[in-house]
Amino acid sequence: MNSEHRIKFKNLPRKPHYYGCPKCRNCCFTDKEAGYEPLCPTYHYYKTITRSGAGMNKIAANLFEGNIVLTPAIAETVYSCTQCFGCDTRCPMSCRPTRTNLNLRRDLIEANLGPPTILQRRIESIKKHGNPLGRPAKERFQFLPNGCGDQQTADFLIYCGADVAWQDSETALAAARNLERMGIRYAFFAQEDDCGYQLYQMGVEKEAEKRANRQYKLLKKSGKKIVFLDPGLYHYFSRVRKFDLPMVFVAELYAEHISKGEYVLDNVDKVTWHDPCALGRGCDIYEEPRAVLAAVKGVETVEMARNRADAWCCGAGADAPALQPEFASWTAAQRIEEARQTGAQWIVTSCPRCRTHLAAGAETGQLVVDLSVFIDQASRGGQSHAD
Amino acid sequence: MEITQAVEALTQLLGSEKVFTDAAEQALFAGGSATTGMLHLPGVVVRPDTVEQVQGILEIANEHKLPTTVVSSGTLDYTTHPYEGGMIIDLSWMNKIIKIDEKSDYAVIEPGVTIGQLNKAIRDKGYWAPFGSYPSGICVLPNYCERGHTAMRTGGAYDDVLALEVVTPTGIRFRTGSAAFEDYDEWHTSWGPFPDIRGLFMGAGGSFGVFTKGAVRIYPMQEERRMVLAGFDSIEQSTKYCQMLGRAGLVEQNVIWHWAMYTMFEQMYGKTSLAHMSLVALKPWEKPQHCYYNMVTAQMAGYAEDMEAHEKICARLAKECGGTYITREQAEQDYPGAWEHWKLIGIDRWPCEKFGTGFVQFGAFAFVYAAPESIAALEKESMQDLYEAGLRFGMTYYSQTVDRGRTQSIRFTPFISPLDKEKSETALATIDKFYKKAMDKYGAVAMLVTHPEQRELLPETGGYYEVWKLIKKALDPNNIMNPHTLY
Repeated sequence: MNSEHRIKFKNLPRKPHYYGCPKCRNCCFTDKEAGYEPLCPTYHYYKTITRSGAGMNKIAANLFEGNIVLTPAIAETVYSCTQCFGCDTRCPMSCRPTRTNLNLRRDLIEANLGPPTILQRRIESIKKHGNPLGRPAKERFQFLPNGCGDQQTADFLIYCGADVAWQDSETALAAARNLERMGIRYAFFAQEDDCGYQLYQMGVEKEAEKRANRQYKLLKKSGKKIVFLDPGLYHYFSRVRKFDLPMVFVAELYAEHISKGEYVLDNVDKVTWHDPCALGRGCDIYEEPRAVLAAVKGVETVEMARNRADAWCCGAGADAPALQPEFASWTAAQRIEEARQTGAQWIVTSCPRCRTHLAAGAETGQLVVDLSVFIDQASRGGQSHAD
Repeated sequence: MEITQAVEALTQLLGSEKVFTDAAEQALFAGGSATTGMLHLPGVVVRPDTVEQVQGILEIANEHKLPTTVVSSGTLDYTTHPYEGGMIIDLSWMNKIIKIDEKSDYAVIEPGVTIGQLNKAIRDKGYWAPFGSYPSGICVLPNYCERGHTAMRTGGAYDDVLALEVVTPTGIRFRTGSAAFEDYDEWHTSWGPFPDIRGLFMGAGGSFGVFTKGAVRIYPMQEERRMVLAGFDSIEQSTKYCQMLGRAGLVEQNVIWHWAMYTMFEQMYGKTSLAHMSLVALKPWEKPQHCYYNMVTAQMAGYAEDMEAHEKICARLAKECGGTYITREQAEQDYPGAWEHWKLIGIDRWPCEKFGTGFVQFGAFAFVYAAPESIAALEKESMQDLYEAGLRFGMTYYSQTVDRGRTQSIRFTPFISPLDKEKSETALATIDKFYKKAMDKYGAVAMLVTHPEQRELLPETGGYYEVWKLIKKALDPNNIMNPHTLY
């Protein structure tokens, strides 16, 4: 024991729970309602408690005691976490391993051991283009044929995020149509730029904070209410940065207004809701999207065995598909199989990363649909917008 | 010790995917399974998934004289602390439920099976198992074997282990009890056909061998389950009450809760933070006005008519012992957090999901078994010692009469921050003092056989120690399993 040689970490605070964690593995499993099923994807894929909330605690405690030093092996373990918050909700000792994971990432960067090379390319892209996808900034709203809309007269500004704008623009278009039908005056936030969310997840905190503040100032100045289409960004703005802005997630807005219209679908019998980690465990929003689904006539909503706080992560969190493609595919396959067992033809969710990642692994006959697209179709009685 | 060659041999035996030498894995086991401070880093962690692999691992450990510690999860035993540069055998990958025998009410499981896993499997079949207040991620068999459990009416947690499959340090595999003849897959009793050597592997933390399978009792979920509450002004009264319940065979289990302990549940379950304030402000032998000094929970199950009668008898006995019977409605109203906890475990029979919530527990606790007539004096003296040591959050306990009142456990738990090194050292010293006093003055025995204070006393047992050494030497000639812990 080298307690007298304790390392001074810049970002990792010395917390009693690193030591107090008894490795009970509650962080790895769901609770009794969901039958103590797997919860932590990395624990169940790699089959070692090192890759769990308890592992994060013990790595932190040993770093502080000087028993171990930061190494590439530690970095690999730390960067394998999908930051799904499962451990945070299940820990009986109220540890917050996800926060520990984030802080460890920050210190790994200080020690030049992170982030992994593949993420460094994304960082460069964010710095150069304002998005992690290597796409020119000016193309962000290219999917909007008539531009972002009139921000002056709008009640709500839609905050898309890069993943929706470039990889799931159908969701953004559907959301716009839904808001219009619901009588909500909206416009897309034309000054949208990278807000630092992914940098924050990687542990590149200073740059993330700078970018977040820049976006915050512009949004604040607009004086408008903000509606988020990406739950990761909503979690980031509301729970992480705790910005003083009137904010809402799009599912909440739908839940509030859904009764005002007639929504029917006749091209699907059963759907199941996949709780995105950032929306459910991250923001405690479980019931609103379910209320929206329930309001659509002709469709039965069936629950997967692991739902709400017990929901299994899809495997797309914290850049897992880029860092650990096999793990990410395995994690998605577990969820897809769980959805199949419900008999649902559609998996409905409300996160661009969950949707695209699950869709990539979906079985024949299974569709993975964003809630906005689902509502858009329901408003047209099952006809897709393109029909 | 030749770690490099040993790692090579282990990798050859198991494949690289089951042999771990990286810092993250080392960190995981550095503090053992306990919540106490950091101790030593193992040199290698292996995760076998078959008994043959365990045999092979032990052969390699012997060849290279590698100090070996066996873990799965959850116990707070000192024997689960690794040796610097030694080997950890992590049994968590041996996690199969081999069978659930509904004719004889037992389950055969591997050591990595968790409480949640077994609970789910047996609950669907109308069974439960006494998991105490442990959370669902903890492994069943190792905790049963390390006495980490509830005191059933017959005589404690050990009795719930029926038969074991064990690999000795030199690699001999055998089964105990009715499972000894491997042609017959019967695990229903720990007795016969020859002397019961199961005890050698119970409470020994893997010092005499590695158990690779075991049968544990499971209990039919009775049609009515009750948790009967009674309040008392002293531990003398509550002990007497528990003994009377035990002698009459009325309960499955009873627990005496010190006021500071059961009021903590209010905070654990988010009902109030009053407990903390009271703890700091009061001496432990005093109590807040609104509380009973002790609350006794009597857990029982059976046919509805029987339970109705049992509860009435409990109320009568509580009164005879100077206590107050507390109705379920009163408990729900006055102690909502504590009631939620007791109902969850005693009536609904689920594992506890609030283990330690709100507290960061310093893991070295003081837990002894003593004759019931000694408990009151031991309680008072210990309270005084803890108070004088300044361990404000250590001055609370729970106590159980076991084996129908023949013996009684008492456990003090210091709830202090592990970051407070000074207080941690004070706590350790106070706990050592507690053990010494409990053993010397009151003839108590420590629950954790390998507590350092208990270990030092081992030679004082004379012939017992001599026999112990002989057995250890015969089974483990190279002294690779927990060397110098038990011998």
